[in-house]
Amino acid sequence: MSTDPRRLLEDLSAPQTLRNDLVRAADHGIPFDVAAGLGRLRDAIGTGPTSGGSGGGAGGGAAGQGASTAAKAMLAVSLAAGVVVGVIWLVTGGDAEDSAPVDPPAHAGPSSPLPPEAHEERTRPGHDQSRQRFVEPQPESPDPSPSISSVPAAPSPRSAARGSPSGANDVQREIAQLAELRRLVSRDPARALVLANAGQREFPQGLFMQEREAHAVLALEALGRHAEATRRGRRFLARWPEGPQAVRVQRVVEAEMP
Amino acid sequence: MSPAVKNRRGSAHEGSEEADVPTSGAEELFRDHAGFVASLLHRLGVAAPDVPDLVQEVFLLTHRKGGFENRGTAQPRTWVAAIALRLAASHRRRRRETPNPNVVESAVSQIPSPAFAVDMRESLERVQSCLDSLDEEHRAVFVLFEIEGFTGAEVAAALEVPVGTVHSRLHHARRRFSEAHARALSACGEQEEASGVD
Repeated sequence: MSTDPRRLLEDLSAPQTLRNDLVRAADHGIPFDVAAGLGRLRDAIGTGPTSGGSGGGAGGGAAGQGASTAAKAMLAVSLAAGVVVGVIWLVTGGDAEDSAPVDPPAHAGPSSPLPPEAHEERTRPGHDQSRQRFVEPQPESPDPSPSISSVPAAPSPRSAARGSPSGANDVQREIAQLAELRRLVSRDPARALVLANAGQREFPQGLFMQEREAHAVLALEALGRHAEATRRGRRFLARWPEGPQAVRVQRVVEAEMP
Repeated sequence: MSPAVKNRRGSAHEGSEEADVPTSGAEELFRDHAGFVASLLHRLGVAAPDVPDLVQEVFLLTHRKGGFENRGTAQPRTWVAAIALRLAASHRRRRRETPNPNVVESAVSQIPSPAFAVDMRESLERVQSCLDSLDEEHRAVFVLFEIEGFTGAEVAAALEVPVGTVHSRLHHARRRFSEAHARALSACGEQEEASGVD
Protein backbone atom coordinates (compact mmCIF):
# COMPACT_ATOMS: atom_id res chain seq x y z
CA MET A 1 0.00 0.00 0.00
CA SER A 2 1.38 3.37 -0.93
CA THR A 3 1.71 6.01 1.73
CA ASP A 4 -0.13 9.28 1.61
CA PRO A 5 1.62 12.28 0.13
CA ARG A 6 2.34 15.22 2.37
CA ARG A 7 -0.54 17.66 2.55
CA LEU A 8 -0.02 20.70 0.40
CA LEU A 9 -0.33 23.03 3.34
CA GLU A 10 2.57 21.21 4.98
CA ASP A 11 4.63 20.92 1.84
CA LEU A 12 7.35 23.52 1.87
CA SER A 13 7.91 23.05 -1.83
CA ALA A 14 4.42 24.37 -2.52
CA PRO A 15 3.99 28.11 -3.08
CA GLN A 16 3.73 30.06 0.15
CA THR A 17 0.48 31.76 -0.83
CA LEU A 18 -1.10 28.48 -1.73
CA ARG A 19 -0.12 27.00 1.61
CA ASN A 20 -1.36 30.05 3.46
CA ASP A 21 -4.68 29.95 1.69
CA LEU A 22 -5.14 26.28 2.45
CA VAL A 23 -4.22 26.75 6.09
CA ARG A 24 -6.79 29.51 6.39
CA ALA A 25 -9.41 27.48 4.63
CA ALA A 26 -8.72 24.54 6.91
CA ASP A 27 -8.98 26.76 9.98
CA HIS A 28 -12.10 28.65 8.98
CA GLY A 29 -15.12 26.61 8.14
CA ILE A 30 -18.53 27.98 7.38
CA PRO A 31 -20.20 29.35 10.51
CA PHE A 32 -22.74 26.88 11.76
CA ASP A 33 -25.07 27.21 14.73
CA VAL A 34 -24.77 23.79 16.30
CA ALA A 35 -27.26 24.53 19.06
CA ALA A 36 -29.95 25.65 16.64
CA GLY A 37 -29.25 22.72 14.37
CA LEU A 38 -29.45 20.37 17.29
CA GLY A 39 -32.83 21.80 18.20
CA ARG A 40 -34.08 21.19 14.70
CA LEU A 41 -32.73 17.68 14.77
CA ARG A 42 -34.49 16.99 18.05
CA ASP A 43 -37.72 18.32 16.59
CA ALA A 44 -37.32 16.18 13.53
CA ILE A 45 -36.48 13.04 15.44
CA GLY A 46 -38.93 13.80 18.21
CA THR A 47 -40.17 10.81 20.11
CA GLY A 48 -40.96 8.96 16.93
CA PRO A 49 -40.66 5.28 16.64
CA THR A 50 -37.34 5.49 14.87
CA SER A 51 -35.59 6.47 18.04
CA GLY A 52 -36.48 3.11 19.41
CA GLY A 53 -34.50 1.56 16.65
CA SER A 54 -36.80 -1.37 16.23
CA GLY A 55 -34.43 -4.13 15.63
CA GLY A 56 -31.24 -2.44 16.61
CA GLY A 57 -28.81 -0.31 14.79
CA ALA A 58 -26.37 -2.89 13.70
CA GLY A 59 -27.81 -3.52 10.31
CA GLY A 60 -28.46 0.10 9.65
CA GLY A 61 -25.05 1.05 10.77
CA ALA A 62 -23.58 -1.49 8.49
CA ALA A 63 -25.75 -0.22 5.69
CA GLY A 64 -24.44 3.23 6.34
CA GLN A 65 -20.86 2.13 6.54
CA GLY A 66 -21.61 1.03 3.22
CA ALA A 67 -20.28 -1.96 1.80
CA SER A 68 -17.60 -1.57 -0.68
CA THR A 69 -19.81 -3.19 -3.25
CA ALA A 70 -22.22 -0.29 -3.10
CA ALA A 71 -19.95 2.14 -4.76
CA LYS A 72 -22.42 4.02 -6.82
CA ALA A 73 -24.03 7.03 -5.29
CA MET A 74 -27.28 6.35 -7.07
CA LEU A 75 -27.61 3.05 -5.34
CA ALA A 76 -26.83 4.71 -2.03
CA VAL A 77 -29.59 7.23 -2.58
CA SER A 78 -31.97 4.46 -3.42
CA LEU A 79 -30.96 2.59 -0.31
CA ALA A 80 -31.50 5.70 1.75
CA ALA A 81 -34.90 6.03 0.15
CA GLY A 82 -35.77 2.59 1.38
CA VAL A 83 -34.66 3.57 4.85
CA VAL A 84 -36.80 6.68 4.78
CA VAL A 85 -39.83 4.75 3.63
CA GLY A 86 -39.33 2.34 6.46
CA VAL A 87 -39.27 5.21 8.91
CA ILE A 88 -42.40 6.74 7.45
CA TRP A 89 -44.16 3.42 7.63
CA LEU A 90 -43.41 3.34 11.28
CA VAL A 91 -44.38 6.95 11.79
CA THR A 92 -47.69 6.55 10.00
CA GLY A 93 -48.53 3.32 11.68
CA GLY A 94 -52.13 2.78 12.85
CA ASP A 95 -53.88 4.42 9.95
CA ALA A 96 -57.37 3.05 9.98
CA GLU A 97 -57.90 3.72 6.31
CA ASP A 98 -55.10 1.55 5.20
CA SER A 99 -56.33 -1.95 4.71
CA ALA A 100 -52.87 -3.41 4.80
CA PRO A 101 -51.61 -4.56 8.15
CA VAL A 102 -49.09 -2.22 9.67
CA ASP A 103 -46.10 -4.36 10.31
CA PRO A 104 -42.67 -2.99 11.02
CA PRO A 105 -40.50 -2.74 7.92
CA ALA A 106 -38.19 -5.45 9.01
CA HIS A 107 -36.45 -5.30 5.68
CA ALA A 108 -35.86 -1.60 5.90
CA GLY A 109 -32.33 -0.36 6.28
CA PRO A 110 -32.19 0.78 9.89
CA SER A 111 -33.93 -2.18 11.37
CA SER A 112 -32.79 -5.10 9.42
CA PRO A 113 -30.18 -7.37 10.87
CA LEU A 114 -29.10 -8.27 7.39
CA PRO A 115 -25.81 -7.00 6.06
CA PRO A 116 -25.93 -4.30 3.41
CA GLU A 117 -25.08 -6.74 0.69
CA ALA A 118 -28.24 -8.62 1.51
CA HIS A 119 -30.26 -5.43 1.22
CA GLU A 120 -28.83 -4.66 -2.13
CA GLU A 121 -29.28 -8.13 -3.48
CA ARG A 122 -32.83 -8.51 -2.30
CA THR A 123 -35.13 -8.84 -5.23
CA ARG A 124 -38.17 -6.68 -5.59
CA PRO A 125 -41.04 -9.01 -6.59
CA GLY A 126 -41.55 -10.33 -3.11
CA HIS A 127 -42.14 -6.94 -1.61
CA ASP A 128 -45.55 -6.04 -0.42
CA GLN A 129 -46.76 -3.15 -2.50
CA SER A 130 -49.99 -2.86 -0.62
CA ARG A 131 -48.14 -1.01 2.10
CA GLN A 132 -48.07 2.13 0.06
CA ARG A 133 -49.34 4.78 2.42
CA PHE A 134 -48.78 8.12 0.79
CA VAL A 135 -51.60 10.08 -0.64
CA GLU A 136 -52.07 13.30 -2.43
CA PRO A 137 -53.68 16.11 -0.47
CA GLN A 138 -56.52 18.07 -1.88
CA PRO A 139 -55.69 21.50 -3.24
CA GLU A 140 -55.94 24.14 -0.57
CA SER A 141 -59.48 25.46 -0.37
CA PRO A 142 -61.88 26.82 2.21
CA ASP A 143 -63.59 23.45 2.26
CA PRO A 144 -62.38 21.67 5.36
CA SER A 145 -63.62 18.32 4.21
CA PRO A 146 -60.92 17.25 1.77
CA SER A 147 -59.03 14.30 3.08
CA ILE A 148 -55.41 13.45 2.58
CA SER A 149 -56.14 9.88 3.40
CA SER A 150 -57.49 8.46 0.21
CA VAL A 151 -54.87 5.94 -0.59
CA PRO A 152 -54.31 5.30 -4.26
CA ALA A 153 -53.10 1.97 -5.39
CA ALA A 154 -49.62 2.52 -6.62
CA PRO A 155 -46.33 0.76 -6.71
CA SER A 156 -44.09 1.15 -3.73
CA PRO A 157 -41.74 4.09 -3.94
CA ARG A 158 -39.01 1.75 -2.85
CA SER A 159 -39.77 -0.41 -5.82
CA ALA A 160 -39.51 2.62 -8.00
CA ALA A 161 -36.45 3.94 -6.30
CA ARG A 162 -34.50 0.75 -6.31
CA GLY A 163 -35.95 -0.94 -9.28
CA SER A 164 -35.13 1.54 -12.00
CA PRO A 165 -32.94 4.49 -12.76
CA SER A 166 -35.99 6.65 -13.23
CA GLY A 167 -37.13 5.73 -9.74
CA ALA A 168 -33.80 6.78 -8.33
CA ASN A 169 -34.03 9.99 -10.30
CA ASP A 170 -37.47 10.59 -8.86
CA VAL A 171 -36.06 10.27 -5.38
CA GLN A 172 -33.32 12.71 -6.19
CA ARG A 173 -35.78 15.13 -7.69
CA GLU A 174 -38.01 14.82 -4.68
CA ILE A 175 -35.12 15.44 -2.30
CA ALA A 176 -34.08 18.45 -4.29
CA GLN A 177 -37.58 19.79 -4.36
CA LEU A 178 -37.91 19.32 -0.64
CA ALA A 179 -34.69 21.21 -0.07
CA GLU A 180 -36.04 24.06 -2.16
CA LEU A 181 -39.30 23.94 -0.27
CA ARG A 182 -37.51 24.20 3.06
CA ARG A 183 -35.53 27.11 1.79
CA LEU A 184 -38.61 28.94 0.62
CA VAL A 185 -40.88 28.42 3.59
CA SER A 186 -39.40 31.25 5.62
CA ARG A 187 -38.50 33.47 2.69
CA ASP A 188 -41.28 33.16 0.20
CA PRO A 189 -44.16 31.19 1.70
CA ALA A 190 -46.39 31.80 -1.29
CA ARG A 191 -43.93 30.05 -3.57
CA ALA A 192 -43.35 27.44 -0.90
CA LEU A 193 -47.05 26.65 -0.81
CA VAL A 194 -47.22 26.36 -4.58
CA LEU A 195 -44.17 24.13 -4.52
CA ALA A 196 -45.57 21.97 -1.72
CA ASN A 197 -48.85 21.46 -3.54
CA ALA A 198 -47.04 20.79 -6.77
CA GLY A 199 -44.83 18.28 -4.96
CA GLN A 200 -47.83 16.46 -3.57
CA ARG A 201 -49.22 16.18 -7.07
CA GLU A 202 -45.92 15.25 -8.65
CA PHE A 203 -44.95 12.71 -6.01
CA PRO A 204 -48.23 11.29 -4.78
CA GLN A 205 -46.34 8.24 -3.59
CA GLY A 206 -43.30 10.21 -2.58
CA LEU A 207 -40.99 9.55 0.28
CA PHE A 208 -41.40 12.97 1.81
CA MET A 209 -45.15 13.34 1.66
CA GLN A 210 -45.38 14.08 5.34
CA GLU A 211 -42.66 16.69 5.44
CA ARG A 212 -44.04 18.42 2.35
CA GLU A 213 -47.48 18.58 3.90
CA ALA A 214 -46.04 20.04 7.09
CA HIS A 215 -44.28 22.72 5.10
CA ALA A 216 -47.53 23.51 3.32
CA VAL A 217 -49.12 24.11 6.71
CA LEU A 218 -46.23 26.31 7.79
CA ALA A 219 -46.38 28.23 4.54
CA LEU A 220 -50.11 28.86 4.95
CA GLU A 221 -49.49 30.10 8.45
CA ALA A 222 -46.70 32.36 7.25
CA LEU A 223 -49.07 33.78 4.64
CA GLY A 224 -51.55 34.66 7.36
CA ARG A 225 -54.07 32.13 6.08
CA HIS A 226 -54.62 30.84 9.59
CA ALA A 227 -57.92 29.13 9.04
CA GLU A 228 -56.58 27.13 6.12
CA ALA A 229 -53.38 26.37 7.99
CA THR A 230 -55.35 25.11 10.94
CA ARG A 231 -57.63 22.94 8.84
CA ARG A 232 -54.79 21.46 6.93
CA GLY A 233 -52.78 21.12 10.12
CA ARG A 234 -55.56 19.21 11.81
CA ARG A 235 -55.80 16.85 8.88
CA PHE A 236 -52.07 16.41 9.10
CA LEU A 237 -52.19 15.64 12.81
CA ALA A 238 -55.05 13.24 12.33
CA ARG A 239 -52.98 11.36 9.82
CA TRP A 240 -49.56 11.64 11.38
CA PRO A 241 -50.10 12.34 15.07
CA GLU A 242 -46.70 11.00 16.03
CA GLY A 243 -44.82 12.12 12.96
CA PRO A 244 -41.53 13.97 13.19
CA GLN A 245 -43.20 17.13 11.93
CA ALA A 246 -46.20 16.87 14.23
CA VAL A 247 -44.73 19.19 16.85
CA ARG A 248 -44.28 22.02 14.40
CA VAL A 249 -47.73 21.56 12.92
CA GLN A 250 -49.23 21.32 16.38
CA ARG A 251 -47.82 24.74 17.18
CA VAL A 252 -49.65 26.19 14.20
CA VAL A 253 -52.89 24.50 15.14
CA GLU A 254 -52.64 25.50 18.77
CA ALA A 255 -51.88 29.08 17.83
CA GLU A 256 -55.34 29.20 16.34
CA MET A 257 -57.07 27.94 19.42
CA PRO A 258 -59.00 30.59 21.42
CA MET B 1 -31.83 0.56 22.09
CA SER B 2 -31.57 3.94 20.57
CA PRO B 3 -29.26 4.56 17.71
CA ALA B 4 -25.90 5.26 19.13
CA VAL B 5 -22.39 5.95 18.29
CA LYS B 6 -20.51 2.93 19.39
CA ASN B 7 -16.80 2.86 19.98
CA ARG B 8 -16.73 6.31 18.56
CA ARG B 9 -13.47 8.05 17.97
CA GLY B 10 -14.02 11.54 19.21
CA SER B 11 -13.57 14.35 16.79
CA ALA B 12 -12.28 17.57 18.21
CA HIS B 13 -13.60 19.41 15.23
CA GLU B 14 -16.69 20.68 16.91
CA GLY B 15 -17.15 22.13 20.34
CA SER B 16 -20.28 21.63 22.34
CA GLU B 17 -22.15 24.21 24.33
CA GLU B 18 -24.71 21.82 25.67
CA ALA B 19 -22.61 19.12 27.15
CA ASP B 20 -24.93 18.84 30.13
CA VAL B 21 -27.93 17.89 28.05
CA PRO B 22 -28.65 14.19 27.92
CA THR B 23 -27.92 13.00 24.45
CA SER B 24 -28.90 10.26 22.14
CA GLY B 25 -26.39 8.85 19.71
CA ALA B 26 -27.80 11.08 16.99
CA GLU B 27 -27.33 14.18 19.08
CA GLU B 28 -23.83 13.23 20.06
CA LEU B 29 -22.98 12.58 16.45
CA PHE B 30 -24.49 15.93 15.54
CA ARG B 31 -22.56 17.83 18.20
CA ASP B 32 -19.30 16.25 17.21
CA HIS B 33 -19.62 16.50 13.47
CA ALA B 34 -22.26 19.05 12.42
CA GLY B 35 -19.75 21.85 12.04
CA PHE B 36 -17.48 19.63 10.02
CA VAL B 37 -20.39 18.54 7.83
CA ALA B 38 -21.52 22.13 7.29
CA SER B 39 -18.07 23.17 6.14
CA LEU B 40 -17.64 20.08 4.05
CA LEU B 41 -20.96 20.63 2.30
CA HIS B 42 -20.08 24.20 1.51
CA ARG B 43 -16.63 23.29 0.27
CA LEU B 44 -18.25 20.71 -1.93
CA GLY B 45 -20.27 23.46 -3.56
CA VAL B 46 -23.52 23.60 -1.62
CA ALA B 47 -24.79 27.16 -1.43
CA ALA B 48 -24.82 28.68 2.03
CA PRO B 49 -28.59 29.02 2.44
CA ASP B 50 -28.97 25.33 1.76
CA VAL B 51 -26.26 24.14 4.12
CA PRO B 52 -28.30 24.02 7.35
CA ASP B 53 -31.06 22.02 5.68
CA LEU B 54 -28.62 19.65 4.12
CA VAL B 55 -26.85 19.20 7.45
CA GLN B 56 -30.19 18.18 8.87
CA GLU B 57 -30.67 15.74 6.02
CA VAL B 58 -27.30 14.20 6.71
CA PHE B 59 -27.94 13.61 10.39
CA LEU B 60 -31.53 12.52 9.91
CA LEU B 61 -30.21 9.93 7.53
CA THR B 62 -27.59 8.81 10.03
CA HIS B 63 -30.34 8.50 12.60
CA ARG B 64 -32.59 6.59 10.25
CA LYS B 65 -29.74 4.30 9.37
CA GLY B 66 -29.59 3.37 13.01
CA GLY B 67 -26.57 5.38 13.99
CA PHE B 68 -22.93 4.69 13.60
CA GLU B 69 -21.49 1.38 14.62
CA ASN B 70 -17.79 0.86 14.44
CA ARG B 71 -16.97 -2.37 12.75
CA GLY B 72 -13.43 -1.37 12.10
CA THR B 73 -14.12 -0.25 8.57
CA ALA B 74 -14.83 3.39 9.13
CA GLN B 75 -14.84 6.12 11.72
CA PRO B 76 -17.92 8.19 12.46
CA ARG B 77 -16.47 11.24 10.74
CA THR B 78 -15.74 9.16 7.65
CA TRP B 79 -19.19 7.66 7.73
CA VAL B 80 -20.89 11.02 8.09
CA ALA B 81 -18.68 12.44 5.36
CA ALA B 82 -19.71 9.65 3.02
CA ILE B 83 -23.36 10.50 3.53
CA ALA B 84 -22.68 14.21 3.13
CA LEU B 85 -20.77 13.58 -0.08
CA ARG B 86 -23.70 11.75 -1.62
CA LEU B 87 -26.24 14.32 -0.59
CA ALA B 88 -24.01 17.15 -1.76
CA ALA B 89 -23.49 15.49 -5.11
CA SER B 90 -27.20 15.04 -5.55
CA HIS B 91 -27.85 18.58 -4.44
CA ARG B 92 -25.26 20.10 -6.72
CA ARG B 93 -26.52 18.21 -9.72
CA ARG B 94 -29.93 19.63 -9.10
CA ARG B 95 -29.05 23.17 -8.23
CA ARG B 96 -25.99 23.95 -10.30
CA GLU B 97 -25.48 26.96 -8.13
CA THR B 98 -22.47 29.12 -7.81
CA PRO B 99 -21.22 29.55 -4.27
CA ASN B 100 -22.58 32.44 -2.32
CA PRO B 101 -19.83 34.91 -1.47
CA ASN B 102 -21.79 35.93 1.59
CA VAL B 103 -20.59 32.74 3.17
CA VAL B 104 -17.03 33.91 3.02
CA GLU B 105 -18.23 37.23 4.35
CA SER B 106 -19.79 35.57 7.34
CA ALA B 107 -16.81 33.31 7.83
CA VAL B 108 -14.50 36.27 8.24
CA SER B 109 -16.94 38.47 10.13
CA GLN B 110 -15.56 37.34 13.46
CA ILE B 111 -12.02 38.36 12.64
CA PRO B 112 -11.22 41.47 14.67
CA SER B 113 -8.68 43.23 12.47
CA PRO B 114 -10.25 44.73 9.33
CA ALA B 115 -7.04 44.44 7.34
CA PHE B 116 -6.60 40.84 8.35
CA ALA B 117 -10.26 40.18 7.63
CA VAL B 118 -9.82 41.49 4.09
CA ASP B 119 -6.76 39.34 3.63
CA MET B 120 -8.56 36.34 5.08
CA ARG B 121 -11.56 36.91 2.88
CA GLU B 122 -9.39 36.98 -0.20
CA SER B 123 -7.77 33.72 0.84
CA LEU B 124 -11.08 31.99 1.47
CA GLU B 125 -12.60 33.28 -1.74
CA ARG B 126 -9.56 32.17 -3.66
CA VAL B 127 -9.73 28.67 -2.21
CA GLN B 128 -13.44 28.44 -2.87
CA SER B 129 -13.09 29.60 -6.46
CA CYS B 130 -10.25 27.15 -7.02
CA LEU B 131 -12.40 24.37 -5.60
CA ASP B 132 -15.11 25.40 -8.00
CA SER B 133 -12.71 24.74 -10.85
CA LEU B 134 -12.48 21.07 -9.90
CA ASP B 135 -14.91 18.47 -11.00
CA GLU B 136 -16.94 16.64 -8.42
CA GLU B 137 -14.74 13.63 -7.74
CA HIS B 138 -11.51 15.58 -7.64
CA ARG B 139 -13.07 18.22 -5.47
CA ALA B 140 -14.24 15.67 -2.94
CA VAL B 141 -10.81 14.09 -2.65
CA PHE B 142 -9.04 17.43 -2.44
CA VAL B 143 -11.38 18.84 0.20
CA LEU B 144 -11.26 15.75 2.37
CA PHE B 145 -7.51 15.25 2.18
CA GLU B 146 -6.08 18.74 1.90
CA ILE B 147 -8.55 20.78 3.91
CA GLU B 148 -10.34 18.41 6.23
CA GLY B 149 -7.21 16.44 6.99
CA PHE B 150 -8.50 12.97 6.18
CA THR B 151 -5.93 10.30 5.50
CA GLY B 152 -5.92 8.60 2.13
CA ALA B 153 -7.52 5.54 3.70
CA GLU B 154 -10.27 7.63 5.26
CA VAL B 155 -10.98 9.36 1.96
CA ALA B 156 -11.07 5.97 0.30
CA ALA B 157 -13.55 4.72 2.87
CA ALA B 158 -15.75 7.78 2.50
CA LEU B 159 -15.79 7.56 -1.27
CA GLU B 160 -15.76 3.78 -1.38
CA VAL B 161 -12.87 3.68 -3.79
CA PRO B 162 -9.41 2.14 -3.49
CA VAL B 163 -6.67 4.17 -1.85
CA GLY B 164 -4.78 4.13 -5.13
CA THR B 165 -7.68 5.86 -6.79
CA VAL B 166 -7.67 8.47 -4.06
CA HIS B 167 -3.99 9.16 -4.64
CA SER B 168 -4.49 9.36 -8.37
CA ARG B 169 -7.41 11.75 -8.04
CA LEU B 170 -5.50 13.77 -5.49
CA HIS B 171 -2.59 14.13 -7.88
CA HIS B 172 -4.85 15.51 -10.60
CA ALA B 173 -6.83 17.63 -8.17
CA ARG B 174 -3.67 19.23 -6.80
CA ARG B 175 -2.44 20.08 -10.24
CA ARG B 176 -5.73 21.65 -11.25
CA PHE B 177 -6.14 23.44 -7.96
CA SER B 178 -2.60 24.82 -8.14
CA GLU B 179 -3.16 26.01 -11.68
CA ALA B 180 -6.41 27.67 -10.70
CA HIS B 181 -4.71 29.22 -7.70
CA ALA B 182 -1.92 30.63 -9.83
CA ARG B 183 -4.46 32.07 -12.23
CA ALA B 184 -6.37 33.62 -9.35
CA LEU B 185 -3.22 35.21 -7.96
CA SER B 186 -2.28 36.44 -11.37
CA ALA B 187 -5.71 37.98 -11.87
CA CYS B 188 -5.47 39.54 -8.44
CA GLY B 189 -2.06 41.01 -9.28
CA GLU B 190 -3.40 42.43 -12.51
CA GLN B 191 -6.28 44.02 -10.67
CA GLU B 192 -3.91 45.57 -8.17
CA GLU B 193 -1.72 46.83 -10.95
CA ALA B 194 -4.70 48.31 -12.70
CA SER B 195 -5.76 50.07 -9.52
CA GLY B 196 -2.27 51.35 -8.78
CA VAL B 197 -1.56 49.13 -5.80
CA ASP B 198 2.01 47.97 -5.35
